Amino acid sequence: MSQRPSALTRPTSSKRRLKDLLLQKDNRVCADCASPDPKWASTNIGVFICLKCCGVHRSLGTHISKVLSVTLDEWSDDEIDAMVEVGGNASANSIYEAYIPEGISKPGADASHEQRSKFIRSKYERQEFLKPSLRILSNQKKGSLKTSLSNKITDSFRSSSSTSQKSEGMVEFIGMLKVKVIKGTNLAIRDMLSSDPYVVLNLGKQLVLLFRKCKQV
Amino acid sequence: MGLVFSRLFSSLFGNKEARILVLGLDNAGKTTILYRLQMGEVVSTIPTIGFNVETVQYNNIKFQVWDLGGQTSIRPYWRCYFPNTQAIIYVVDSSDTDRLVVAKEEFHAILEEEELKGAVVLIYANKQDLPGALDDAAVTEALELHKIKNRQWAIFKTSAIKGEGLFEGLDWLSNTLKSGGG
Repeated sequence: MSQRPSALTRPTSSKRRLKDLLLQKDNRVCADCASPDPKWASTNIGVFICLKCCGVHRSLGTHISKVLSVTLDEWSDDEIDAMVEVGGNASANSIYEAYIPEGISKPGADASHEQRSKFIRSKYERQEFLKPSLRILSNQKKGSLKTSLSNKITDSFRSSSSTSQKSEGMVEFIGMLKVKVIKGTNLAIRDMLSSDPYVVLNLGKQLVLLFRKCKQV
Repeated sequence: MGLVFSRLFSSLFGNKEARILVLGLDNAGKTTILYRLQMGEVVSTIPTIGFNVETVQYNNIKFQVWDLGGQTSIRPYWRCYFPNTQAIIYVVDSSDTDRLVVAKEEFHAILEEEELKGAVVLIYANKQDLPGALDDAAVTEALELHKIKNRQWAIFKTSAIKGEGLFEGLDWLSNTLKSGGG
């Protein structure tokens, strides 16, 4: 069984940062059903949620939502950083609940498991309430959500690069440019489901999209 | 004396009793498995803070199944339940590949426990219904099951949601316990 790290080896500041984030006004209610005083969180989505909604999140699988307890689990610094980076429930909901269609309403604190489950699956698994440009097409197969969304974002880049190439014609190979990205802070969330950062480089009319498994620091 | 007599009595009539602990990381599917075994139904669960205990009668064995909460800070309390345990069911979320290392460490720490020296181990490579779930061979490797010594163990691919693999595992467990293991 894991030994709990002593207070000496663990910087208290990161725990403090998580507590502070939880005390933020928008995080005093569950991101999904607005129940007061949420004690659970989805660390990859970046929302604080109540016990009942946490049950639904857990049933989605960790490829959709990774759930931890604020009080009963040990958090890694990376997990806390990710929560802080998203910025809390209001910020996450501005993305995941950007467009809630008429006729659909958020579940309340006393909603049934079915009502909760339906809303939470629409919100995170099928991502139906995102900005239309980021939304996943309904005819795409289930289970490949991650790739389909990433593809969609990259496709938008690729299409612009291919048109520029067309107008340019053949590009003569003159050498290789190696670019090392040292640091990136306050990165905008462009890829909702994975936290792998990517880099877009502009050089004249050429546009390159680089995917690298970089570690988030 | 009464206990000895009742044990003798039940062994004569083939009714063995076994105390089983269901362990594993948080959200591995322990509670869903417990109630799937006991009621044959998929229940919607919330995190177990504490434990659930149910009796499951199967293959002439009365299993007393203890499902213990898996959150980090409550794992140290698992050891309060170790005495007189005949078998451990260790549940792994086979799709949560990021945490297989933690699952492995917790698993081997359990095997080190003196009070569980005689317990047989059944591993459920659970959540086979989810995309990206590792199969039993891959989970065997990730958990380093080849390192297990002096103990009977088996691994089964399961999906508690679909009800697959659970009773195959329990078959192995009941046969092993009847033949004197645990």
